Amino acid sequence: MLLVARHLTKRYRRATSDFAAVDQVDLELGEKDFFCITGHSGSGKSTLLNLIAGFLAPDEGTVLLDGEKLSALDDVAASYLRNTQIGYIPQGSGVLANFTVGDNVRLPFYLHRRMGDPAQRAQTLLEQMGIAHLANQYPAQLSGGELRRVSIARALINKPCLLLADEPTSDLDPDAREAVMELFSAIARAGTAVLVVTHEQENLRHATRHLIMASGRLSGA
Amino acid sequence: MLPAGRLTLFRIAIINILRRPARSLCLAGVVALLAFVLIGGSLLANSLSNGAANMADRLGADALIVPAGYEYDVEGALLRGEPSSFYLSGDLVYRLMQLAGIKQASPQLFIATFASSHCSFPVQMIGYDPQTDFVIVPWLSQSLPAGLPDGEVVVGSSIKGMVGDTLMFFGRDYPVVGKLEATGTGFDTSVFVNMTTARVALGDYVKLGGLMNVPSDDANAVSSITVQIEPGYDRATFTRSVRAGFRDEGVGVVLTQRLIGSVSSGLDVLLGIIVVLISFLWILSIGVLALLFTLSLGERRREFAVFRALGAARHQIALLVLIESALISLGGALVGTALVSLVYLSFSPLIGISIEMPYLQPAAPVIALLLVVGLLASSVTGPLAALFTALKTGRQATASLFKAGE
Repeated sequence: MLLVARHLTKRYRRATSDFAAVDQVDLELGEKDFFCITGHSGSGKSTLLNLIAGFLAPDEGTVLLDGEKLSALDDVAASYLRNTQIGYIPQGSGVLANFTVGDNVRLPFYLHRRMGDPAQRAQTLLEQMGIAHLANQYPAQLSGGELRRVSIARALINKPCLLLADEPTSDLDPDAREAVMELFSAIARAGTAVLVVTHEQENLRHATRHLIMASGRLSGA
Repeated sequence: MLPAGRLTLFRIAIINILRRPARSLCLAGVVALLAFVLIGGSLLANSLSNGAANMADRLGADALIVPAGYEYDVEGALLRGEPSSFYLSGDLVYRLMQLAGIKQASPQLFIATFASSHCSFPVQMIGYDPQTDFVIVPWLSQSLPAGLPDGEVVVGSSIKGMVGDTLMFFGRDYPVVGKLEATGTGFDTSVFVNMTTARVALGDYVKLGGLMNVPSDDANAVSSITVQIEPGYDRATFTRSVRAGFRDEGVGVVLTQRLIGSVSSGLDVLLGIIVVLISFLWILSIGVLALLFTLSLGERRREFAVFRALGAARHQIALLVLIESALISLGGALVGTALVSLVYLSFSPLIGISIEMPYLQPAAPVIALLLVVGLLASSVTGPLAALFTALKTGRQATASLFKAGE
């Protein structure tokens, strides 16, 4: 399995009592899997995604990515792992406003020492996303759907084995939402494991599996 | 076509700076102001210290004997080059030498030239006695080893006129045979002649109806007598004995130590103000910059969170913030340094005149050193101010991605 999460738990203190935002979650994800997690607001979906991405350290349990225990890594090693193995699409646009579309897509390639030039791959990804003509535009000139495609292209630049997306279609119109989910589906078919957190039921038909988050607990649909 | 070139942290920082011109200019402006005050204050302080030190060297004498009531005039003539004319009986020199404690004494004759068709410009003409002088001769001998001939003048560094030019004073032409280096004192705006020439000039002056207080019955009138006191002889005793011995003649004594002391104490106050001003502005700049960086980085939390999500390590985020602050600071410091250089080098003589204190521009290597040190000190202000924020941002970036409890 590419991703294995066991007994994953994250607690927070609210007022005078503790509560588990993520409570004893087990999850396994392999190549070509495309899982969607749905749940109400505050159910723990984003916290689970942040635990899997290594942004948060779990209070209990472990996350293994390709056999590597995330919580055992220091910041540099965890950042390197995130840069090389995980494509992360944050909630909202997440596209850096100061950089052109092209530079946004190329940026992750340069965050760690690598040889070569990502220009050709960036060009190919932008073409696949249908936004190659926007390469030299700034994010302020793009629509919501276009921005989301930039985020996806950027997440794929380093050929990750796992793609994590937090509410990737939340502010898109139905056509754009459908196009984005189609892209995720195609990415999964190409071999990358995809885990999408969403609250939109219309997205579920693209997924190979639907999981439900409720009060920090994860269950199969 | 996609843009070319590696997106290093340095390049990312430059892009961020250029894409936020208002923020960058605001931050750079604070640093430019700091650099201007820091370097300007240092140059001013150095020029004043230089002037005071040079004045002590140039005055040479321990005391000056002047007509009573003209003590301030001689200060004005020596420190600020204010043209003055006042006179004592010439035989005082010989009588003075009879007093105990005097090693050397030499007369000087001051003539204030005036703005008219008879004079090139108003300056202080100083006549000295080559036989007895121990103040001006050693100094002039550097440029005129053979001495200053009759009818010729040597000019101070700020006088308009080069060697070979001719200046007119009281209707008579005087060739310029030497130009002295800057001293930061009133000597810079004076012309020097030997006593013979000075008496000719004084005669011309009187003929033109210039003066009321030249003793008409004394062809040997002088303006001041420079005195070197025997080593170890008490200056207060000397002053008392001069006042007692020449009560009828009405002489005043100016002790150069006191003159230098009053300049030094005035200078100390001014230097203190400069140091306080620079320190205050530096602390204020660090505070303002830290506040501006904190505010701007607060706005950029999501941006840094995205960097973290893309795989940037904490130290890379902190480094990016520091590089941005360093580049902005360097830009601001360069602008401030260029501006202060322009102002200082263009208006240094005017600054010296308006301050009314001994003022001597430091040598070029000293100016260069002050500029470089000021530039570096200003440049590190931004990164210093941003350091705490940078480290905090590195830690916070990831957390801002989370929506706790969701």
